[in-house]
Amino acid sequence: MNTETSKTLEKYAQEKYKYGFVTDIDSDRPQKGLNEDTIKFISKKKNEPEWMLSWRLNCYKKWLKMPNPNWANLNFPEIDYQDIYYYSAPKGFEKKPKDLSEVDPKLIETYNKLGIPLEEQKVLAGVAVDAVFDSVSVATTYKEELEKLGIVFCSISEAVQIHPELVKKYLGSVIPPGDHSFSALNSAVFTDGSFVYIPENVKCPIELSTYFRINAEETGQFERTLIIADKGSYVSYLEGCTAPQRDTNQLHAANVELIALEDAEIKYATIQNWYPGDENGKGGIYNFVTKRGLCNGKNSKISWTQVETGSAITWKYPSCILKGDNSIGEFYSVAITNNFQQADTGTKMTHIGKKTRSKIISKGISLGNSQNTYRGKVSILRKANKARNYTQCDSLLVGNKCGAHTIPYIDSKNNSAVVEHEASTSKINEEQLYYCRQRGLSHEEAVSLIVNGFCKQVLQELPMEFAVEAQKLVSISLEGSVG
Amino acid sequence: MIFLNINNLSVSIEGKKILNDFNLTINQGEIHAIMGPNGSGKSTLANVLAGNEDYEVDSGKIMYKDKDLLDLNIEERAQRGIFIAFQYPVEIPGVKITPFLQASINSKLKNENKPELDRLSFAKLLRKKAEDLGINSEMLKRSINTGFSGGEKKKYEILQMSVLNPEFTIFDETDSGLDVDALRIVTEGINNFKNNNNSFLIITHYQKLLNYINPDHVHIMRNGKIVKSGDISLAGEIEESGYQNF
Amino acid sequence: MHSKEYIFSDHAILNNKREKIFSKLIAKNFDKKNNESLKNISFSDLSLFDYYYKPSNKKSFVISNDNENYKIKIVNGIVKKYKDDKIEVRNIINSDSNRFLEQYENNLDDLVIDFNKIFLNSGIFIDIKANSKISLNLIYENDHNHTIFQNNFLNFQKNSKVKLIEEFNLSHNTINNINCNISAHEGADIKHDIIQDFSYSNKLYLTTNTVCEKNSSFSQNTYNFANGFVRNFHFAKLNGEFSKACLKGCFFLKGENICSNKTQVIHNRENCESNQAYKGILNDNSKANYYSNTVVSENAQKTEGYQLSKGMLLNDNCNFFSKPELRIFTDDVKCSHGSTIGPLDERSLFYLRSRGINKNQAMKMIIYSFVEEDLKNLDNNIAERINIYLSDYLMDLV
Repeated sequence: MNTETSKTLEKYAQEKYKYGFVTDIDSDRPQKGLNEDTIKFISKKKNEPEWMLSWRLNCYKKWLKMPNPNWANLNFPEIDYQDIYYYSAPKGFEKKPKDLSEVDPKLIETYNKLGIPLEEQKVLAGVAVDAVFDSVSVATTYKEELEKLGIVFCSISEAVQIHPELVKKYLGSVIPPGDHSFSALNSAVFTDGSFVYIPENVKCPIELSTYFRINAEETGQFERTLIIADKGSYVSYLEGCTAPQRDTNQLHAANVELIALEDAEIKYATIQNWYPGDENGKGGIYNFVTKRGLCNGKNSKISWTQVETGSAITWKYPSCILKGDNSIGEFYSVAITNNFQQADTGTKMTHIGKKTRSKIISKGISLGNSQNTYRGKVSILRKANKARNYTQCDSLLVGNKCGAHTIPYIDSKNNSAVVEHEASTSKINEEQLYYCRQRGLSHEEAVSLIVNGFCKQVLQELPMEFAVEAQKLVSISLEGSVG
Repeated sequence: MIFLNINNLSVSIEGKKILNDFNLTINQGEIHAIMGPNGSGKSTLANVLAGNEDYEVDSGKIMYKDKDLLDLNIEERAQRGIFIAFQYPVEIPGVKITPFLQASINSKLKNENKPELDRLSFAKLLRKKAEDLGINSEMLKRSINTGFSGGEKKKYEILQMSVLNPEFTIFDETDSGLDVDALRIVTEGINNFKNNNNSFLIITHYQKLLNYINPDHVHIMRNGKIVKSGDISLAGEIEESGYQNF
Repeated sequence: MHSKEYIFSDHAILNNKREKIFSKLIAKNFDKKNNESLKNISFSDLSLFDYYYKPSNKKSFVISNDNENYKIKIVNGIVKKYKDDKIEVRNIINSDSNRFLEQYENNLDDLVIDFNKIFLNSGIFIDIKANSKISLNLIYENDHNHTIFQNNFLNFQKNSKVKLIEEFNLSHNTINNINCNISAHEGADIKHDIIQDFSYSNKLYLTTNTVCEKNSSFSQNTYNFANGFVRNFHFAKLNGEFSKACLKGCFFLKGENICSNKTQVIHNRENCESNQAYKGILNDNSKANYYSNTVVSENAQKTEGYQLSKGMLLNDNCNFFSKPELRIFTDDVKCSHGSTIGPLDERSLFYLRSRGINKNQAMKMIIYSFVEEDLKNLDNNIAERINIYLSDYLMDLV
């Protein structure tokens, strides 16, 4: 690497995380640690029906018997589950506020600072937002407009109250609580998250979005999202997240389940920008996320797009089960790791139905001392005639202390299926840098431009409203702030 | 002898009807051209004549040299003199052109109960045919269509035609994407090759190719059917006012 | 254990280590699910066998008529002693125990190697002197019902240039667990062809570990036409600058054939190059897997590492699993892998048939083309044999 590149990198590494502030607000928390009482406490806070509590307790019992999954290429101290708060809500949130006048102005200010205004006159055009602060949903915008179309967009806690039949039917149907220990844990203690139901043949006209913020110290966040797209419907959903800068590690273990019925389409995008820890690897979020979509009906489609820049540890494999004939699964990912971040992320495409198609585009960028792993599995089952998969994984290395790893698992049991996988790993191209700079760009701009170009295939899959935002985030990530 | 007679042919792909009661008769020594907009079913016709198994024949009959063509599989048709010059010739890396074409011509000779060609005499024949067409002998060392430009692929289809000497040749939009030079080779190839014994079906979107070849009959195809037949002047009409009048 | 039959049975330290491995296996104290050496084989396949071994040195020989081409026959893991100015051939002896100790230190997580360590009953040592240019044909032969646990050392001294061919003439109902350690010293140039063709009742677990020093080149091609079970696990370490390793193979499966393949290249120094490529054709109920891995260590700048995995499935009941890994710990690299699994290409088939070539022959042409480039650099006599195997395989196809 030439000295100029090193200088730019050093400069990047010195920038700071922009969302690292703490909101000073009183919060309501149970005792630290996890036991049946904690779960009862959460359930009571949420005023849940009996069936929900017993489901949680059941999952807790499963969790007790399960070891943590160990396949990932990650290195971190064992998590002490008894040293975590499992619930934290700003005081006065026993009931969700009816409107913003009941919400502590400090909270509204927090979201303003994060660029997510909640007040009616300032809300983002074309995007409905559900804002989750620690364990509770603070506010949901555009709610009434959506209700007119029959679309349900609310927090999962509300859904348990208003649509118990849907929750009962679908919760845990794509990610069985016993799948692995993080899914069991989340099922036992999930606090809040979003619930979406799109009725038959309704195309949701605006982006739905949830913004997650972890504020309280030593608190785990266990959100749960459930999206159901009924026959012939369409929805595009976006999730964003940030957390304050703290020296200790915090646990985030979310579960997201998507169900697409016949001819339905769900687009799910994530911009993950949790606090990644400092330049020495201190602090940061442990991000253990299970995301899975079920293409249950014919011609259904689920598409995952993720831009992963934050977290000290990322463990995340948004997957698609392609059960319906002709169904389509897609996964587009940009994962940037810097400093001492570790990411082990990828996807799993399970082809069950005939003529199912999947596409995986993964771009990994490693900087600093970070380790970035793509792990993906493509399975073609016996009856998936003429199934088709195309996978492309590219890794870019910037600096010689980082690592980039590509670990695909490819299993085909059907001879009419075609599975293609391509991967490449290389360093940032000095010739391209030279070319850009000869045309007058600064070294920094040139790196940013090249990396953005490298990610373009993925970024263009994001909803328009966020594509620009994501591009900026990629540049910022290179500036070392996050990642 | 009936050379080629297509009678009330209906064809579909995956349940979608592409050819709809299609009729056409071609006699020995004739050149027919079929023109039509995209999606009119032109290429389907070519594929069905060649025996592509992706296409389902729902009803109708194709008689070729007094035989029911639909009873024959792909290679049996080829061995009986049907040749299709493909729109997009597939690349087959690793399969060398020379042994491939030798196997191809010998399959035909065998079918006709004629002695097969040995390697040497075939190589001679191939070199001569390539020379006649102005094709570089270097091309004969390569794998089928691999690393060829679009024009080279088409030239190579013409070379195969002249080597295999088919009685019925179908050009499936062979002229699309050709530069002037390649177009000249293709048309010269056809003109030198045509005689009273062999027939042609030229499928094209444009009139340009037909100016060089001069077909005996021109047909306009729309929605899986021939909607008008005439002589070369019909092609001129298309050139002037497009397909919307048909 | 009848201790007398094992090599180094008097070696206290080695025996101690063997016992440890043994108790691990007995207690099944290992991760069964993720163990790559257990892919497509069950633990009982590995562990349930009738141990039977008798040394035999009657039929083994070393022949060289011209001091350039050597033919060595190894019978039941035993070889005849031989020495000239270019080569030394002998069986392993007690004083070789240190070489084994090194191996026992590495925990490879490979159960096949564990069994090799425990039951070790034979091994040969071949030393090729510096600057020798020879061709070396190793023929493994064994008597029926034998279980061979063999550990070989092939030492290629400075600037030697060797064509190494390994063949397996197995009789029936044998198990062959052969672990081969290859050292390519500075400037050595080794072309290694492995031909596997034996009957259904035999099992071959072949493992090679090659270490390449500066400027050396190791190029391996494995041709698997066997009807019996084959495991090809081949590893290379590039420990010297400007060294090259190439691990390639192709396999042709039918019936109930199973084969397990793995290659791995570790780049430990800068300016090295590696290539891993396996191609397989699977028919009937056959099963195969291919693990490949390129590891680029921290200081191995200017590395080029390529991987390719191609599977062609001819039948609905076959299964191919592939896991091409890249693990890269430095930045100045050009690494890639490509992997495809699919049927015989329908479009190519249509094209060939539309030129009058019948379906069966067209299929053969396409299958042949799939491995064509792997066959073109072979010596004539090997190429001929492989062509015969290939036409046999293709004959049974349809």
